[in-house]
Amino acid sequence: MRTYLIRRLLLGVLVFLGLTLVTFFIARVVPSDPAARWVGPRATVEQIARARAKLGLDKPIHVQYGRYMADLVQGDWGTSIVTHQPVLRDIKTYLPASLELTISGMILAVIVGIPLGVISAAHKDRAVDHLSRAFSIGAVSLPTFWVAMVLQLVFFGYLRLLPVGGELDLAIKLAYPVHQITGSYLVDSLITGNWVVFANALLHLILPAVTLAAYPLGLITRMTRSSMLEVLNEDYIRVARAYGMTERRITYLYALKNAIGPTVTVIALTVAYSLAGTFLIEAVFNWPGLGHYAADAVLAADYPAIMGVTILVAIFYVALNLAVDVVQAILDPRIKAA
Amino acid sequence: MPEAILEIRDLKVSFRTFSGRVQAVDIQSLAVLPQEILGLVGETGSGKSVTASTVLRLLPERKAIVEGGPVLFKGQDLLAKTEAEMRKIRGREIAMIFQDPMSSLNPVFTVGEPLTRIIAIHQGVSLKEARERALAALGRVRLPNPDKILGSYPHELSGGMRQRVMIGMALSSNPDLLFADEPTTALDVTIQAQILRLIDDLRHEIKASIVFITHNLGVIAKVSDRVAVMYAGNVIEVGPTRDIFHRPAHPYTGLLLKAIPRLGETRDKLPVIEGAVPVIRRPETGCYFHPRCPRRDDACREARPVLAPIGPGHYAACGKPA
Repeated sequence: MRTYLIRRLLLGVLVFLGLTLVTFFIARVVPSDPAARWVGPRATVEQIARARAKLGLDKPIHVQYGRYMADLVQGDWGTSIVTHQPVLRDIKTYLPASLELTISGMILAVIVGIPLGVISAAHKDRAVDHLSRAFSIGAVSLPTFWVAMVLQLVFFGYLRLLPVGGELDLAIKLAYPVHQITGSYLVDSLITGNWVVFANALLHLILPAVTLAAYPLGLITRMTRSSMLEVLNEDYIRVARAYGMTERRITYLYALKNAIGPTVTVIALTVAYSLAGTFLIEAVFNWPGLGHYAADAVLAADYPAIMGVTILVAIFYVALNLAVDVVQAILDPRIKAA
Repeated sequence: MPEAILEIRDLKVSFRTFSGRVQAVDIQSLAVLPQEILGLVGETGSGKSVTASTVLRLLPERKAIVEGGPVLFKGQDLLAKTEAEMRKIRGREIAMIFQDPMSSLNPVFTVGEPLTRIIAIHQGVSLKEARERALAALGRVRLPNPDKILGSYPHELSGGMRQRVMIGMALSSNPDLLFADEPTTALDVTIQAQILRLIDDLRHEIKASIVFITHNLGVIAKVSDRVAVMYAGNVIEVGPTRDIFHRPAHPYTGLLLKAIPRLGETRDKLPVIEGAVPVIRRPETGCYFHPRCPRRDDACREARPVLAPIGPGHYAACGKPA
């Protein structure tokens, strides 16, 4: 197990390095002059040249990369050209809201998607299965912004049950200040026992989380269904039946443990993707997440910010992949042996 | 003749497929006597395994159509039992050993998990007590270090050990009837011999009837008391092993025996039975075997023969028995 982990970890570091390399060079070949942007539209040629020297852009590109990586490991992720703030500080501002949204959406997708996929497979070609398949195809193929707006229309517009957007009502934000610990209203209010804020934050989270959950929910359901169908045809499932095991035990224990692997991979990849890839949801629900920040950075050719978000997402990808490898090895003892 | 432990009468099993119904089993009569080993032989697709699955009611309900019967086990019709009643019989009164011990064991659980659980379910004991009995079950099939094996995953065991585990599992609740469905086919020859010896040893300890399903006549000759030969889903000859091997009455049995290669015999070509097993979707009139039969005449084309006595305990379904 240990050598397996070390091998996976080293591979993760390599992937991470490769990713920074590719992003760095792509950001540099884009025909936009960061130095000119740094000093603004009315700068003189001389000012631009000075900015270029200050940002280190006059050095050869491999020197620039080396310097960037050296700064990176020391916690200096560069300074945003747009906000003129350290990129790491910007990320710290936006990340909690993104994590809050991603994690709650994924929890929803997992607790609905896996059982739905299992039930669908266990009742293949019956009414439940047809319904669940129609539902999962819909969840995967409906455009996110459309789902978001329909949910707003129904739950805010007609039913007046849930807020239309934002993280917290302004009145509550002002009346009940929250002591910042993690930066997430939901978590901080829970820790400090600030129930009014907690309830309000939870209400605000429901619609964006449901919207975010739709796509992975469909994916998880389909993935679970198809690998369950495969496993349910295996000999050891027939053997379990031949020895008088109950269908429930066979399905949810003996088959599911074999079938869950691909689903775990999908879950991890979707989490990493959702972190900065939920710009549309954030836009519709006015959610102050990382997707917003990333989209602004791209539009402004704010390359330190782009690099920062990319590296953050890369770290999440690598870490989650490592976690997946560990989970797979725990689920299936044959992986460790290989 | 003693009271049969299992008696199958007029059993028809067919499957729904895209190209219509396929008849897989059509048995007029088959009985398993107490504490005997009955060899069930036939070519691939002759309905041996489907018969076993039908008795245990393991066929997928939506695809398989079971007609006729009854299938009497200790005097009770299994076809009339509910699923919950069948679950109490499976693994406890009727157990089954499957062909491939690798795919029969769940790869992501230790072999102790199903074994202990089955014992706990069927014998109504705690998991702790079940573990003790599981160790005993592994000891009974001559596995060294049962403690270690109980905590092993299937991929950590050899093919022979895995099949021993399966046999241990099958016998753990002292069943009255055991189906062994090609239990040695997936193993290499020396391990085959060991497993056969084990089954032979255990039959005296366990007092169960064993239905030994195989297409290997050499194996059948070694282990079984009686032999039933299946052709196209039908039992066409049944009798004491000695009679079947020395005085086969049905021409199919005779040809099957001739097709066994023997060491030291110089023959240019192994005798083959001309033709193929008929497409069981469209059973022709008359004897199922007549298109391939060397002894056929016009009568064979019309009437389907029923099992008729040939000698003591020896029956054949043939219009012109040898």
